Amino acid sequence: MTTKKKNIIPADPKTISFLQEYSDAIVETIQQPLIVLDPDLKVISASRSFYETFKVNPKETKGRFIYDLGNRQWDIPALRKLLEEILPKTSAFDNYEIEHDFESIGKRIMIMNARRLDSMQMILIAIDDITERRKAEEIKRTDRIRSDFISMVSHELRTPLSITKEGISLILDKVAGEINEEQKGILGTAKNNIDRLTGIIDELLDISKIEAGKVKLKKESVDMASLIRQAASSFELSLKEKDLELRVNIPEQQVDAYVDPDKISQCFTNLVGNALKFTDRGHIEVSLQEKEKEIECVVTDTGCGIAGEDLTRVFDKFQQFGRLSGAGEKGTGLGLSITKGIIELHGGRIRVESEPGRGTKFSFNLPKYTAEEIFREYLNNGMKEAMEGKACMALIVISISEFNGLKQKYSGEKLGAILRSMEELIKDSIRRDRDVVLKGSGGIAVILAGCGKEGALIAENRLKEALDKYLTNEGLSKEIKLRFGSAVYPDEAENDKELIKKAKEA
Amino acid sequence: MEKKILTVDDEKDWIQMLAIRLEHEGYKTEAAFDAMQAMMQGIRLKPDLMLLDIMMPAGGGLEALKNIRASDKTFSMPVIVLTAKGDVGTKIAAEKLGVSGYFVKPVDMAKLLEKIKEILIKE
Repeated sequence: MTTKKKNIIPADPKTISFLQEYSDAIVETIQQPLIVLDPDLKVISASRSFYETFKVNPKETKGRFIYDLGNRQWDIPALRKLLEEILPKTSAFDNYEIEHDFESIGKRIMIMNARRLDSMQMILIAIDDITERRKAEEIKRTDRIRSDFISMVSHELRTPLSITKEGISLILDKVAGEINEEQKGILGTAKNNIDRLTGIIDELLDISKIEAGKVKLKKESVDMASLIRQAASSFELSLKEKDLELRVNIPEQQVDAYVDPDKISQCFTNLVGNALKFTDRGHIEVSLQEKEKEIECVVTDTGCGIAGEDLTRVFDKFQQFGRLSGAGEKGTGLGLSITKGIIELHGGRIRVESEPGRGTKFSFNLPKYTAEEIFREYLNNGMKEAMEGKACMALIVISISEFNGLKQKYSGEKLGAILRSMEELIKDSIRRDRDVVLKGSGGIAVILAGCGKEGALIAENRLKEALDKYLTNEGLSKEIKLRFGSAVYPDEAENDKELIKKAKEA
Repeated sequence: MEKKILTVDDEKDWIQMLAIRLEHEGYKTEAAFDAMQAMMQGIRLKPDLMLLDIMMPAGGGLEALKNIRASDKTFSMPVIVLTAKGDVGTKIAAEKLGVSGYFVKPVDMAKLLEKIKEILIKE
């Protein structure tokens, strides 16, 4: 279409009107912003998408000089260059990038493909608005740079820190000879501050991982009551030193949650540590409550409290309040942001209430999952790992025959106890840490990572033997009959549904 | 008999500190400064335990560990990783290759010494 020879202009008016209609239809229907100019750079037509994307009025467009569009917003130097310098020399030009700050729609980055159609006396410009795409790329890039930076810095800092700390420790431990009390005191302070610096690096790394969405939770079924009791006990000494009372209000029985135990423990430690820092008299109370759909954990103190205007910024990064007393251990102002990030990653939420001079109450809620939901997640994680590692995974399902009939015969309590003993027994005979044993309402599922059909059958037989022995010993073997089945992913099933079905039927 | 520990790290200052501490605890120490030396010294000196860094020249600690496990002269040598890399991925990779401990720098020396004792008593 660039050479004059090919330019056969049809003389037939019918053909001309057909072509006119045809090209109008294309311009009108195309999804991309497209604008058609005459050789004097006046607009002949434009696609609907052009009007929508650049917020210009169709009435104020047709017949106008392109530079005059949208109150002369289109008078762009780079566009002038394309239309006045490049296109007169070449009839086609692609991927011409223009960045422009529009009054009405803000800064836009556009890619233009232009064609000069001499035969039709037209210039065609197709515009791709790549602003959003660029923004996304830019965000990705800065995220990568930031996390690379943080991990580099953290590595580079850790090594000299390690050397310095050990150097001080060697002298403190008198490896290099006797030291006096004053020297010991000075070096002790130096060592404490190296530990503090280490804590700051860890927190910076944590928050940057959370913000970059790089934290992978290692969720498992956890008894929250014992997790919190354990975390609280690590504060006993510090509480005693400040003469504060620790009140623990935790149910006696298990409170099952499906969480990353290390991360939740970290949150809890942050909250209690915070309470301890800002409380000089009274008590710190820790409570746990199982609700219908959530688990609620509360840390209350009788400390100095947080003023109303600061309360909204408590979870922001680098905020430090209640510093009026001056002395005392200073933090990074990241602990609460990290805590909030971790709780939200778990699908939970965290709140704060406080009254200056009376105390502060932090509470977080974690969602409860049904056994079925947890089982599905374990199963899908196992399948994903198997796929990534090009390995296999086996599922063994042990179900109690005619469970409904048994339910009428035995109390729920008794059946529950039997299932629990069976679960413990299975856990004992499985032994490997990576394997998962889950108790459902009428049976137990076992997920064996990296296990093929042969291994699954061996495990199945071993479990059968152990459970039969248990039922016989308990005198239950006549009443309770067990059904065993196993299936292997990916050999025998493509997805979780198929795997469960196969294992139940086998 | 005096137990021999091979410390592997490209940070000579760190090796110096480690050596003073370990010798004070009654161990004999040897040093290697990159992954290649770790492998060679591992075979030549037959240490009772190796303390291995991860980020090092000449292949890195994971590569060295892989080679140690592949050689029939060193495959059963106990290895403790001491590294500045605290990420889960590296830890899992190291554990898959078989390590007796994984410590992130700055190292908790009391815990490390306890671990070393535990391993060397078993040996």
